[in-house]
Amino acid sequence: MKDKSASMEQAAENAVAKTGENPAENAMDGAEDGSMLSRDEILARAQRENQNGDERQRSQMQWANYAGFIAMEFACIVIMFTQIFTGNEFTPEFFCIMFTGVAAQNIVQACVNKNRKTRTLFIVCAALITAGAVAYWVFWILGLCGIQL
Amino acid sequence: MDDKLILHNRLKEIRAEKGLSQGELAGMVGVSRNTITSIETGKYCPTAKLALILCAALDKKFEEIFYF
Repeated sequence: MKDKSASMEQAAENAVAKTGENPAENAMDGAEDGSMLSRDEILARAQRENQNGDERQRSQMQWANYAGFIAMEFACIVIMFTQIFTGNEFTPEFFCIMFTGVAAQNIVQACVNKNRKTRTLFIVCAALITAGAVAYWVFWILGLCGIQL
Repeated sequence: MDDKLILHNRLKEIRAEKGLSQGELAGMVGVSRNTITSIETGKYCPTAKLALILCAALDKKFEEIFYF
């Protein structure tokens, strides 16, 4: 932590040396002037932006979607295992649903994750699971067309 | 020991000082009244953006409303 703060201080000093201006002082100058937008403009824009739900409602919706996704995946797994243990006919549709959901999750993570190590992991997982999902979709569609592999 | 860094606020007192109801403040900022209630009771921690909009609405500096 000390190294990190020391490097940050060094970076700030370098910035001052290069530009001859202290960004921190400039930031304070800006703060004295207040915002670039007037109070009324800020409030008017905030009201317009939040017309379809505010950030807390969007956050709640994200949690609901996440819970729904987990529940759906859980249901697919339970049904698949039930079919396996009871000896009933196995339906690949559940694998299609599960793999597609997890593939989409991993693709989004691979796109938005900026951490180099975990991003590589998500890219690998996304590629493998997407391949699995595509394979199951192909298997299922061919099955519907009456083509047995 | 719970050593989480929690952002507290004085929204309720400042809103009362200004003579605004939760609904009026919510209307000004464009959020639901429940969101204002949740922020006041500490159930919801606003983003920096909403926190600064609240500051603009109440004519206060960030550190006058929010603190650790």
